[in-house]
Amino acid sequence: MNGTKVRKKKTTFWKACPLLISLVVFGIGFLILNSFREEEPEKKVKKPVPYYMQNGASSAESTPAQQETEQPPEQTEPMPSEPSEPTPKEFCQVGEHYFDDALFIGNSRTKWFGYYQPLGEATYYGVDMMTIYDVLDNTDTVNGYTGVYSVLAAKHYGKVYLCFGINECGFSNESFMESYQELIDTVRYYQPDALIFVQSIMYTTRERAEKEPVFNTSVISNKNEAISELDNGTDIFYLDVNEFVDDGTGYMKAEYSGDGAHLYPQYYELYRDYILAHGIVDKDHPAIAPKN
Amino acid sequence: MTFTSIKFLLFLAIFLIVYAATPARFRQYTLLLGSLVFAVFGSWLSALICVLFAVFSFIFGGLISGQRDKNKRRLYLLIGVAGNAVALVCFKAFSYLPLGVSYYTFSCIAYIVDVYRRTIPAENNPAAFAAFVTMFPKLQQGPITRYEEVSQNLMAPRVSWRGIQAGLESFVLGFCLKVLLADKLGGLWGELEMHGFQNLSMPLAWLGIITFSMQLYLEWQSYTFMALGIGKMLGFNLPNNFNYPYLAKTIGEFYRRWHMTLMRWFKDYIYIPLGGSRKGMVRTFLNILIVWFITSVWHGFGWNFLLWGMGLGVLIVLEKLFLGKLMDKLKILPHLYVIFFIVLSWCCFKVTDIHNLGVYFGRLFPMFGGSASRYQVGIGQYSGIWPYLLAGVLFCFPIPENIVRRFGKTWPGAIILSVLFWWAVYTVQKSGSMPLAYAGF
Repeated sequence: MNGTKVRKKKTTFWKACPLLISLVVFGIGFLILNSFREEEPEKKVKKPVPYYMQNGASSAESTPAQQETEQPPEQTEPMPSEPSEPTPKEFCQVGEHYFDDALFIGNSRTKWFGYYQPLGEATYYGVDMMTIYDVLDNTDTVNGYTGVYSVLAAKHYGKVYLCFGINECGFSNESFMESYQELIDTVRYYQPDALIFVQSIMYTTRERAEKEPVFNTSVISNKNEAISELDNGTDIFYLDVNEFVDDGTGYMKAEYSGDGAHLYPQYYELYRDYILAHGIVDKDHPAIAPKN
Repeated sequence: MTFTSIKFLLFLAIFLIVYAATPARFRQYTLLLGSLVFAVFGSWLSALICVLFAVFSFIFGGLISGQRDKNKRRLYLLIGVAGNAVALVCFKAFSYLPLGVSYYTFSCIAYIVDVYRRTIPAENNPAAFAAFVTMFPKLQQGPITRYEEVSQNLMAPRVSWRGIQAGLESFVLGFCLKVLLADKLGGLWGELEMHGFQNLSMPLAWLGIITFSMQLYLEWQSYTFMALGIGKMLGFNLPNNFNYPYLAKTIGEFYRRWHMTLMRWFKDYIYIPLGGSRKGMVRTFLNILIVWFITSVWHGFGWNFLLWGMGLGVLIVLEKLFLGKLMDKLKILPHLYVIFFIVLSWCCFKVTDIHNLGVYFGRLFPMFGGSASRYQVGIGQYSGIWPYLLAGVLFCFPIPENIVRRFGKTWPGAIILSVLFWWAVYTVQKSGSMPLAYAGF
């Protein structure tokens, strides 16, 4: 009798609560899968060969193994012309066509800059919420390019503009700059003679920073200082885009933004003017010789 | 700690095990302790304020119950109700809202009034009463529960497999609805603010406000599913808050289906004491407008809320006068009428700055002089929202809920729900979940 009773109870639970059992079983499966995912090395993103290896002798020398390497190979390939004696360069006003061979990579600020104020024939790879930590793993399709490697390898660029940092305010400067350097190394591998422009993190409005203290001006300024140290005066340049948004107290002018972090469309004009006023032209350098 | 956080899921799992292992007659203490832990996760101050409200209301409930003198009873009622109400108004005025204060204040006032009316006896057990006020499934965002709805079960809450199954069905449905659908709709409004309302094309302005209307409903509905589901697992039948409001044929009916426990509270503790519909047509209309005025103020002190509440109040008065009868005779038009005005009312609700509200209405109706910006953003940028919006429309009907109720008990149904649930958990783990749009009231 007892045995029958016990069996009956078990059947009741089995029948009464399939969702609990199912949730627990799938939960265990989820946890196991999750732990495997954590141990797994970084996501495999296809890394195409650079533009200068796609045609001619160099491309014939590259093997499939090289083409799919996890890390960009050592820079042993013939480098396009590089000035033997780097001389410091100064910003100057440039025209729209200066950007015909420019590439802009960045977060939503780059995305909307490209949408509202496209410059010349410039290429934009801007993704909402993209960070310096996931930019190389990104697989979004933007303007026909899937992933940052795809856009970097597609063609030759004379200038590459980078815009990161607002989504990384909560992270340490060390890890942020380490990833920034990794991105610059990748850009340099794919575009050896391009000028790289690293943009400062644009402030948020005071109201936004009060709601989210991670956007405090001291946090942003601290990170900007670290970014500015990348500037070497020859092929990496720091652009302080806060020059045109600063309200004088280290925040974005309140009237410039609705959400406190992005400019209203009309103020992208100021952004555009700033970028136009900060070109680098060198008549001796083929990649950045004046075009108009 | 929102219901759609990993932290809460861990809390819930541990709490349920401890709660079920506690002998039934001691479960009210486990519930109280668990609810306090939940409140402390919000902030210590929030938890303390909640306990103070509970203590205050418990004392005044006892004072009223133990007093035979009519005048003294009335005085205690006045102090008890005013104490709760003034504290709530002060919190709102100073823009500091402790977790769930707008909701449990109403439950406390209802308790004091009901004890005064002798519809319920005063509670003698302070722990049971504190467990009722702080009860974590309803603490954050209601439903606004009356004491008699849970008091019997509080003494010895019954945990059963059947209750756990039914509760899990609700909870999983709510969790998935919030994470996999409502959150996907939630991002659009932020983008519209980013562009600036003056730069929206007319179709985008409409898409924005329709999407917000859908998001607000889905968030509320999903939260209600989760709250009621947790309640069921703990052995309580919390009152329902939503009954497919977008199917209503009049605005009055919409608000009998939307946030039902708040509307019930206003009806029972404001509208009826004012005389309800018993004192002639003019008083009835005045009472309706008073109720809607208080509803507006409860949501906030801005002009936009006043416009929202009084606009709806006037429409309900018009429905009582003639519009309701007209709508009764028609089939499709009443639904369009409700959706049109409710969507517009949500615009007043969402855009708190009165100037910006004017700009938004200018974009919704550019034919009335809303000037177009040369930086207009079109609807094409947001084509990805449509599948979520259409899925949201499906949840305006009872079909998905009925399917879950019917097939959640079967193995295939349980497996599908489990996969969806862990997919939603993965989504939360990867990118978090948006805070509830209604949590700030």
